[in-house]
Amino acid sequence: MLFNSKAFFLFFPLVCIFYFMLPQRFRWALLLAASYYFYMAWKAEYILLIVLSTLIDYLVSLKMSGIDSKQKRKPWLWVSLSSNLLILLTFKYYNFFAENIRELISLSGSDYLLPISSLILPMGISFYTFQTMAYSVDVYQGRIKAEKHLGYFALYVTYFPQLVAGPIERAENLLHQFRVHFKFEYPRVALGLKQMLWGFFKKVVIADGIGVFVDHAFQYSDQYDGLTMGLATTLFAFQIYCDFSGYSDIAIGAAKIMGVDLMENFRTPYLSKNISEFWSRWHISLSTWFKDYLYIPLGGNRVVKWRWYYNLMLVFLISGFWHGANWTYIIWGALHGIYLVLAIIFKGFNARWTNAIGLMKRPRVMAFLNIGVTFILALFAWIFFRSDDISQAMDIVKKIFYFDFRIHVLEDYFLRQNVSKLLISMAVLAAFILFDPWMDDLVKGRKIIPRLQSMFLFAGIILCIMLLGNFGEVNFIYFQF
Amino acid sequence: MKRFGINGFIFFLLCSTLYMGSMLLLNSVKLGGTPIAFRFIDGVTWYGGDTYQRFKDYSTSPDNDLVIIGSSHAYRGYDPRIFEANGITAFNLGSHSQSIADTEILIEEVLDKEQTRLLIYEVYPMLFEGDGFESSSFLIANCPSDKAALKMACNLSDIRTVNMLALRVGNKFIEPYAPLEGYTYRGYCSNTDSVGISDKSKSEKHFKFKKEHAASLKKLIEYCHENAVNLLLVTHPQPLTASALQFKEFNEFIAGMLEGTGFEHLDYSRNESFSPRDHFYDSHHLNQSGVDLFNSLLIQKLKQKHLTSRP
Repeated sequence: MLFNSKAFFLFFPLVCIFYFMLPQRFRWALLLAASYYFYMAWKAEYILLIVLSTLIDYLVSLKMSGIDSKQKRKPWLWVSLSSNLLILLTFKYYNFFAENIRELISLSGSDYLLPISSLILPMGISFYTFQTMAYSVDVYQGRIKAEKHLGYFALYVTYFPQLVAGPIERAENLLHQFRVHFKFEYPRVALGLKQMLWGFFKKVVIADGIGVFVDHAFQYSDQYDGLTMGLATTLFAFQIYCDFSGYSDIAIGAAKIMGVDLMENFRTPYLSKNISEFWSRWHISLSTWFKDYLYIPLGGNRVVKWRWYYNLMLVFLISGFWHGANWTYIIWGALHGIYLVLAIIFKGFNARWTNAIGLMKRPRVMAFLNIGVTFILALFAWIFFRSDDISQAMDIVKKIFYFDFRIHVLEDYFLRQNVSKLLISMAVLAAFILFDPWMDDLVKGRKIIPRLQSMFLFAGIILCIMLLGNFGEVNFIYFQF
Repeated sequence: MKRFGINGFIFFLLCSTLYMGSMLLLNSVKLGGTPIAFRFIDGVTWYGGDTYQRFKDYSTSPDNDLVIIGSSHAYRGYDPRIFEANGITAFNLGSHSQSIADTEILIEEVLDKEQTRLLIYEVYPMLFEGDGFESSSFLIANCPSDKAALKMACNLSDIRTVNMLALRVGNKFIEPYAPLEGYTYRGYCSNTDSVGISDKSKSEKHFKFKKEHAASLKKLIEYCHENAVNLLLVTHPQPLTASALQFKEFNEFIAGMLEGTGFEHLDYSRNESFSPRDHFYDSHHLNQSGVDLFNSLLIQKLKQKHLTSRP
């Protein structure tokens, strides 16, 4: 079920009404049934995969909790990790490997064809498998105790607000909250609704509004010049941010209404002053997952320098691959890894250089320049993320860097579109860029404004959604991951 | 909970007021001859044009031997002038992409059933595919019955139709602004050009339908059966390049729908008198010369079957 679908507008209020009517001891059952229904509304049979993953991790963690020696727990951890990775490999990565092996074999002159799978990628598979793997590792490490109640554990795996696109939650944060008796609290419910509303605004007004133009430009990228593709990539940067952070806002807001605090997933990432900061503000639940379960176990930065670079590159390559079974995602991840490694290598030089030209004395100018450079680096990587294949990405890069700018092509692009709608989308986007940090603080409860002002503000947001929204039930971009 | 209820109600009132105010404003301020609302809001269709004129004309001439209903196949495929020349008064109530659900609402709320001897419903496979939004959008903007407009909006439960309903309120205070292009007579719009479709045959495909459209057709047939509306389903000629298999399966589907009702389906889809080069405006609409030929064939058939004779 999509958050921006008609079905969700019936489903969510009904779940909330029953949730507040039920005694605490039955609420888990309601939420679990609702979560299964939420997922099955997409493709009913794929719920079996979630059930399988749930049962394996539940039994394995129970088994691990009964063993004192970490050494003896290890084989059970591998059962959990390998079963989840096998699910991922079968449904998400099999065709990628099969196609690449085919290519390799064909180079040797053989015509052996590895079969291609026709399985559909299950929605949210990367999110719930990572969530359950984190749980198994935490139990193995002894950071948490294994959950004995199958119902609560199943709910942790499938909790519908964050099931299909995160935030990827930790058991430590989420599981215990299901047991807390939560009464209807007006300020909390109002805050949750505001965050949901802001999420819907980002999705249906901004992301889906500019998405029309981005999709068109990338579909016909061979016909457009560097300026148009540069503009399309910049718009894509905001499309994906609004799409994904919009989803997270709806998820966090919905959970908040029902008494659960999910972790923050975005913190105005395009205001980051370097790539390292970008990753502490973009898809926070995933980057902290990689930090805690891969980067630190690899040794993090407490190793020799070359090993530190290797750790960073490996984490970002895997992070890119996590997003999708395509070389474009791997290159996107690799680019971010390279940015970080270069930032470390040139840290000293960068400090001396900025000091020499007097930028250190002008922190505002320096911050502005750093934000600009970080944004451009992120943009460059987005070209690979958005392109269908590497050749398309390279073609776009060439057009931009060879300054293949022909204004008439851009004019043609604008003329082919509904100009007034494009202009409105751009104007709304400009307003959004200005107000996003302020709104982010407001909907997350870090800022408070007078009630009347708040009412007019959110009525205005509803008005924008009604008048400028795109209501074609467009999928969230991160669903495919 | 009480505080939530009170504040929620105040917020709802504020939103409704702001929304209606904005809609009225956006509908009355024009840019280049059309209201701003038409330019900026997703899915908004124009007020005026042939759909508006058709309903306006129908309100002054509801007594007809024959009323034709359906999508552009209907309003571009049945010329009341030809019927009139053969002693049959006809009116064409077709509209843009008219969905089956909207046709049923029009029959219930707009058609003068007492004064209609025969209702021809133009059906074809593509009718069972779309989402129905375009149809409802045009009709909500232009059909004379508020009840019908409300029913169409509720049927679709899409925010865009809510916007169309709000604009409908605003339309009452402004003059229709869409130009009247191609509107000929009593609801009919003519196409005189011929694009000259290639004679090469297309690949065969199966007839596919959405369940909700099939349910709507069943409901429509039942309604006509129960309310003594003399219904005749007709499929007008198609270029022979269209898939024969698709039309064969479609005819079987319609036959199943009509079973036990006494209603008939006349199928002209594979009529070989029609040339893809000379009788079609595009890949599925007839041009005037195609309409002339098809309507004469249909009139002969109607007379043979005494379907339009007055009691």
